[in-house]
Amino acid sequence: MNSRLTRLAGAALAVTVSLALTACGGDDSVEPAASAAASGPFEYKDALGKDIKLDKAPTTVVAQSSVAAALWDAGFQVKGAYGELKPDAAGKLSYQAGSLDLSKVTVIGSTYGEFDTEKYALLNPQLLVDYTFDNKALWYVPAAQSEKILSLAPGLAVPGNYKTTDEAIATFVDLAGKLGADTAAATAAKTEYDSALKAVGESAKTSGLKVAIMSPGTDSLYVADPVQLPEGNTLKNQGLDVISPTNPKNEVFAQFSWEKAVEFKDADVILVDARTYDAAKADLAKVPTWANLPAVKAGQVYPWYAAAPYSYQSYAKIYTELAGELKSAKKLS
Amino acid sequence: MRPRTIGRLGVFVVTVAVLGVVVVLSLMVGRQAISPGEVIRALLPSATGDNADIVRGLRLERTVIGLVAGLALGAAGALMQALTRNPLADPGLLGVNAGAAAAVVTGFAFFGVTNGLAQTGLALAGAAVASVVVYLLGSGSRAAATPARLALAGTALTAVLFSYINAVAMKDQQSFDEMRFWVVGSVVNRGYDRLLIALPLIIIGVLLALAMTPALNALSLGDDSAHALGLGVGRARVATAVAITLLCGAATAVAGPIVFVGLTVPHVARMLVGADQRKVVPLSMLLAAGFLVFCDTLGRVVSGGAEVQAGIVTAVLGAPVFIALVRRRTLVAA
Repeated sequence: MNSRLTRLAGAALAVTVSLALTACGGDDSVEPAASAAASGPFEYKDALGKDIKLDKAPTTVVAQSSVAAALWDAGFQVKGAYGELKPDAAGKLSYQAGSLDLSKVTVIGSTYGEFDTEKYALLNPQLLVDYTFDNKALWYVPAAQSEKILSLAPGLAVPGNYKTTDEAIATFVDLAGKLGADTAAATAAKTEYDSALKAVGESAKTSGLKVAIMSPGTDSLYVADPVQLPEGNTLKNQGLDVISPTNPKNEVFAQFSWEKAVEFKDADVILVDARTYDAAKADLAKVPTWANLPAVKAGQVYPWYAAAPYSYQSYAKIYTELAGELKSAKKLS
Repeated sequence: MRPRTIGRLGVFVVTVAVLGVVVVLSLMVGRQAISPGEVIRALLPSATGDNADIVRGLRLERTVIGLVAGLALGAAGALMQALTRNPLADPGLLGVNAGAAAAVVTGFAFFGVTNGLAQTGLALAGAAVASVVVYLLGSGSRAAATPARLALAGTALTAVLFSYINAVAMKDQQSFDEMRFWVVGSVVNRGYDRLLIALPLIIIGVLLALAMTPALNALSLGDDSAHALGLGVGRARVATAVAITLLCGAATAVAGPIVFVGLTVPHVARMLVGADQRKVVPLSMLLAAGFLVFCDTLGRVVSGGAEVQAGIVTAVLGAPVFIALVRRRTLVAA
């Protein structure tokens, strides 16, 4: 349970960071129009079934970092963000923060459980946006502070789970549009996204590669169930053969004893959780049932950008990279 | 007199036999069903393939690490209960585990230390510093380090250090992932390299522990009586504390903080052989080694889904045993 939560939180972190990275590297010509809000009323039925009605589209929006990153790419610039926004030793945010530009965003909290209510109040927020994973609460809003926080501005919940990345991204583009953003850049990026996906589909069909999505830890092997993952379903729809682990509890990650790793020998390619893999790499090399997996031996282990922000821009990049990897990978069995 | 001697010798013989059975089971039982014949074949140095990876790669390493860590924790627990004359003393009491974990977490979070050797060094240093701090706090300015003062100082330091660990762990996702191991111990995939680093320290700790047992017998009579018997109370206490630090620090570096082994096992040992530390300490080592390996084996198969860490199984099994012991009779103070 604990580790699953950690992974989930990590996912959020990943989203946030990727946003920030894009922000730093990207050109300024496609600056999202944050304050060019539509003048009309704002209406949204959120994932908790709440009808949110505001007289005018809000301009001061604060969002959880992954949500903020997705909105940013969709063309809407938040004023404040909280979530996973702690830079690494090199001062960079993880890929999970996407293109978020922290010089333009007030950081309300930079890790799970951190939310500076005073700083938030001082922004005079008009709307707060966060995921909900349990259909009850906003994900990164600390329960103890939630009453106070939600009294300052209405909280809008976007769903945490989606069938496909298309559906997830569309949700954010739609929300950005309703918030008055110009979503033209996002629409343009969709072309790139679609052709990246097509490239994945082509290499999948010609190579017939079997792919497993994993988050290997030294204590256990976590195998993602593609059916529970938006990107898993999207890739499967493109004809990629993604291995489904035995997963009676229908969780995103099925947890296995390392003894069970030998049952994944048919994977030609392993996509590993980019949030945690680098740190665990050296220790994993000493786990014989990992080191002797054919895909590991063949060096066909590639990053899986778990919890990247749901935007056409970020997933176009991710799928393009994957298509290239699938093209160069060899069928092993 | 004679039958008693045989009885106590018998306890050791039976314990060793049980330990042997536990070790064999730990190689036979796991998430992957492998027949006994295949297990034996997989243990041959020439064997390769899945079974060899599982039996020789995964299970044997767990067993060896469980044996060594368990032995160290059993000895440390027995020493600690004798030293503090507190039957409820456990390796966490003197802040040793917390010190080890805090040092490793600090190294990881602020200096990016992920190397096994460096982490072990940090764990030992943290354990040592924590022991000294507890000892100084417990001794105060004028009064001697009484068991109660030591225990209080240890509890206070542990609380402070774990708050610190949690605060650091919350800071970012990566250190939290790494932290899981320092919250609940496990013997899975720890690596022989980590064990080799810790082994010399454990050996020194064990030798020191065995050498201190006569002095601990004298200490059990109280400081004044021990003093009257010609024992250098202060020196004996420091030597024992050094042994505890070595054993706990090294065991924690290898297997993480494992609870209830050091607390429960010495009580069982005293039930079996009485209060003589010369017997309690070695028997605690054997029993704890077997107990930890057994808990790890049980954790592999006890749940339908994933494995359960040895540190959780020891707590689940150890706590009720401990409560039963406490309720059954007046505890034999060490």
